[in-house]
Amino acid sequence: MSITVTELTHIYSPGQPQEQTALDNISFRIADGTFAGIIGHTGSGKSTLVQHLNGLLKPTSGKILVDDTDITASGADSRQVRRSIGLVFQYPEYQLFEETVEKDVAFGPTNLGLSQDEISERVREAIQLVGLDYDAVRGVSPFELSGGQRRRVAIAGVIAMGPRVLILDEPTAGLNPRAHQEILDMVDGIHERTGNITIMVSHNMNDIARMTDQVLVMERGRLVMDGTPREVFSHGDELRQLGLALPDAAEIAEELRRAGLPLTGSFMTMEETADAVAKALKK
Amino acid sequence: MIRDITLGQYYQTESVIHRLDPRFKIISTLLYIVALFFIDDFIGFAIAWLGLETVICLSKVPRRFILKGLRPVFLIIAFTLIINIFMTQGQVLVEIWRFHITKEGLQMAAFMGIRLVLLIIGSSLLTLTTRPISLTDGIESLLSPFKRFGLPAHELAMMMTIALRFIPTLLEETDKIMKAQQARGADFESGSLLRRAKALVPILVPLFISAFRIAQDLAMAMEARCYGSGLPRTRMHEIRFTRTDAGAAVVFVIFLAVIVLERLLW
Repeated sequence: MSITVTELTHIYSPGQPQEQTALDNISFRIADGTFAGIIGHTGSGKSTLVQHLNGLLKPTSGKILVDDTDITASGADSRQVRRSIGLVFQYPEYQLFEETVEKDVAFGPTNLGLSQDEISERVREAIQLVGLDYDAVRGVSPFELSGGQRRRVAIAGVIAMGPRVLILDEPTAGLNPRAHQEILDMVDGIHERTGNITIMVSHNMNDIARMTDQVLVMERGRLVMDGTPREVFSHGDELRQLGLALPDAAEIAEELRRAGLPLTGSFMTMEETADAVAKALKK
Repeated sequence: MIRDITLGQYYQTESVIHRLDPRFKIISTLLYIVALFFIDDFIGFAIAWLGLETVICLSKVPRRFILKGLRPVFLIIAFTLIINIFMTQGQVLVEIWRFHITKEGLQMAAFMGIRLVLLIIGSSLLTLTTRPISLTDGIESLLSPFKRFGLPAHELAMMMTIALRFIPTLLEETDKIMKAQQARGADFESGSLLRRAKALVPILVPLFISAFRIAQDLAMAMEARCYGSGLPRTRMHEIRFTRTDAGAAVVFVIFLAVIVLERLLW
C-alpha cells in the first residue's frame, strides 16, 4: 500500500473574512512499509494534513491516492477509507467513553459491522499489541487506568479496526519520560510486526531521527522539505529558521565540530555521535 | 462545520450604538418592549418602527444580519398569526367550513405580527451591538443595588461571563471528539432517530468529562490568584455613563413620550 498526495490545498472558511489557507499545494509520496515522520511548528498544517489522509477533511483542491483509489473523489466510500487508514488523534484518551476497556476498543470494529467473534478476536489482539494484559484490563473502566495506559487503550481502539496505514498525531504529548519511551517502543513494535505504513507527527527531533525512514517538514501550510532523516537534518540552519531543531546527537556533533573536533558525516543517534567522538579522540 | 458557528451574534463594527453604555442599552431595550405592548394602533407602530429604523441606520449593522435573527422564530410568528386570525370573535368577513375570519381577528393578527417582529429586531439589536462581556458587566451593574437584599450580583455576572467564555472552547472540543469518533467509524448522519440519538453517547460522555476537567482547571487557576477573597473588586474597563449616553437617554425619553401621547390622544 502506498500514499500519493498531489497538489493538495485546503482553505478553511473560503470566502469569509477569517479565510485561511491551511494547506498550500502539497505533493509527496509515501511508499509501502515506510515509517514517515511529519514535523513542523504549531499551526503549520500537520494536523490538517493527517485529517485529510483518512478522509475526515475534504481538500479544496488536489488528490490523495491510496494505492490506486482516489479517496478525495466525491463517490469515495468514507467508511472504507477510515477502515484502511487508522488515525490516532492528539490526546486520544479523551475520546474514551465506554464502561470497560473491552467495550471501548470494540467501538471501532463494531462500527465496521464485523461479526461478534471477529470483534472479540480483534479486540484481544489489539489490546495485546499495545502491551496491555488483556485478561487484567478487559473488564476495567478506562477511567481507572493511568494516563499512559489510557492512551494505549485509545490506540488499541484504532488498531482494532485493522488499518493498513496507522497515523499517530503526537502520540507522546503530555506523557512522562518513561511512558513516552514505552509508547514509542510500542509504535515501533507495531510498525515492525505489521510492515504497514506508519505516519507519526512529532515535535521531538530525537524520536523522528531514530525511528523514521522519511521526514516531511511543514511550514505555514507548505511542504518545505521531504527526504530521509539524514537529508533533512543536514539542513540545520534552515530548520532553525523554521523554529525547529536538530536531534540532540546532531546538535552535539555540530558543537564539537565548532570546538575543533574533526567529526565527519551526519549523526542521528547518540550512539553514532559517541562512536565518532571516540574515533576522533583516538587519532 | 462547527468551526463556523460564531458566538452569540455580536457584529463587530464602530458606531455610536456600539459605544453606548450597556446599562442604558439594556434598560432602553426593556422599555421599548414594554412600549410595544402599550401601542394599540398602526400610527403607534409606525412611530415604533421609525425609532428602530433610526437605531439600525446608526448601528451600521447590515440588514441581513438583523433579518437572520428573525429566521428561528418564523414558525412562532406564523403560529401566532394563524391563532389570532381564526380564534378572534367579531364581525365575520369570510367563512370557510367551521372557521371564521373576522375583521377583529385580522387586525389582532397584524398587531401581533408587527409587535413580534419589532420585539425580536429590537432585542437582537442589543446583542448585535453589545459585546457579550459588556452585556454581563451591564447586568452586574444593574443588579448591584439588589446586593443589599442578598442577591449575589457579581457571582451571577461571573458565571455568565465564564459560560460565554467557554462556549468556543467546548465547541472546539466537540469538533475534536466528533472527528476522533468518526475516525473510529462512528456515523452521526444516517439511521433512525433512535440510532442517531444513541450515536451521540460517544460524543457526550467525553465532552462532559472534558467540561469537568476544564472547570476544575479554571477553578484551580482562579483560586491560585486568590479569587473570592471577599474584598470589593475593581475592574479593568469601568462602565461610564458619558455625555453621548445622556443625549441618547433624552432622545429615548422623548421617543417614549411620543408613543404614550399618541396612544392617549388618538
